[in-house]
Amino acid sequence: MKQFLILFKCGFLSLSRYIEASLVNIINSLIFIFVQYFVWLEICKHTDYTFLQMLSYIIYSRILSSFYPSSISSKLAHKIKSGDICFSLLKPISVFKQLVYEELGTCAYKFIFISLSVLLFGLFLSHFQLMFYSFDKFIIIYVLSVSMFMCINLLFGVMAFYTTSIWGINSLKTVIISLLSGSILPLNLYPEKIRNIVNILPFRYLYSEPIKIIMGISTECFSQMLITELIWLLVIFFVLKFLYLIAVKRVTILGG
Amino acid sequence: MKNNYFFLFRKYFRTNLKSVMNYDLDFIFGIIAMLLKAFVNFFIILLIFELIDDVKGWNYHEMLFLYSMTTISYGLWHCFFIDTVTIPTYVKSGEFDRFLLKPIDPLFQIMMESFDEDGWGELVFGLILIIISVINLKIITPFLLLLPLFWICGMLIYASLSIFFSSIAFYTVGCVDLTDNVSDFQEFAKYPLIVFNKGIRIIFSFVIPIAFTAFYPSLIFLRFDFFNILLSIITIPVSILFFFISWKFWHYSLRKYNSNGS
Repeated sequence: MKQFLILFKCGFLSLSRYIEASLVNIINSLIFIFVQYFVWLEICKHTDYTFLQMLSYIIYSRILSSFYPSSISSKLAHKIKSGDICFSLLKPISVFKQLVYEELGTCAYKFIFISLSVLLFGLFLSHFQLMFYSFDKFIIIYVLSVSMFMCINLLFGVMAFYTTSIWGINSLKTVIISLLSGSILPLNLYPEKIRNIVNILPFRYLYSEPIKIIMGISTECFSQMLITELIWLLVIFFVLKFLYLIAVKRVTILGG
Repeated sequence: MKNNYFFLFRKYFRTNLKSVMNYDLDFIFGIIAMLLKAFVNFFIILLIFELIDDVKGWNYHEMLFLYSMTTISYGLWHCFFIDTVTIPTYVKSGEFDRFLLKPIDPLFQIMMESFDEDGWGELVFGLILIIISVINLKIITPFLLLLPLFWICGMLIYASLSIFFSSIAFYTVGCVDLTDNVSDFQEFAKYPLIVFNKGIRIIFSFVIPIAFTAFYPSLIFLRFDFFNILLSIITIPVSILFFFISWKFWHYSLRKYNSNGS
């Protein structure tokens, strides 16, 4: 527990040095929401999607993305490429735990300083009519989604053991997640064939499903969704663990 | 004589091949990611037009034309000026001073360093798109010759923004870094200006002239009337003016930075 608090504080304070970076992030989110506001205002005049639904979806999506632990993959990849991973391996706490605890600290910082600002902006923009349904269900699914996000990111980070790449694989991760998770557009807007593929993959649990739960427009049975998500989480976690153990063995054999 | 040249050619070819093969897996992943990203942005516009037939009077092909204009101006900026975004980082780490040691203008040095391979992909994508749009819209006017000029003007406007924001770094020692937001402004340029409300239209025409990167130049091809021709032609002096202002501000800030005894 003590380890957790120390690393959490580390992560939290590491971002507080760069308060302007938070400013850039906030501006970036606001610009994006602003553009989408006008575009969808126009589109919703001619379709049966309600504007408030679209706006709420976009605002929630930006809020979620502002404090999702997305930098953990590049942190791990950097450690591997620079060789610092040796120091992390020598410590009495597992590498994953180190990274996860620190990342939770940075997420807390991002939530307080970035997400809440964006939420405030979103509330004003929607004239305080942001669609909101249930919080308790959302928290449950969100905990699973964040864990899944961490595992997927760590998976891409562990790839660095095999490809010694940072930028390439990180870009690939960002694009894949943004396309398949519904972070840019609601997934029900995708054409039928693509929707079928997307529904099988686990990425929709990162953005699409939690947002639908908080807005109250989810069509699936809640417990069924939780079970499917949990299974996916376990699968990803075990693949991650497996790849990591092989990689670490290789590193120690090579005299690292 | 002929044998010599053939020999040289084989040597050059082998060297070039080796340099290409040096590009490791990471680079290939990055290129795939960039192509996917360009596709995702394009995909969004496709999805919008699955739902509706036109956006405030602009149909699918016209939107594609606008989108390709934005992509090309931004791609040009990416190819030549992308390192201006790194200036605040250089100033913060102190690395910037190495540009000041050389007798050449620091901004020119940074431009030369900028030569980035990934910008070319965007450019090629934009060029293919605009050719398709022009064919689909059946635009056959002599004004098409103005297109490269408009693209350069768009590039100058993005450059003036990034240079202006990075000049601020001289005052804040690189702590306030707004240059990443330059790419955000491209989001606005993708859609016709008439989608936004009056206040935003004014801001993006006169304060942060994003509208001149793609929208106003497009008017001469898509909405041909006297007033619009004027608007399109104004792009040229506006872009030069803004670039000149940013350029001056940059040099002014640089002098201030120097005199602070760095």
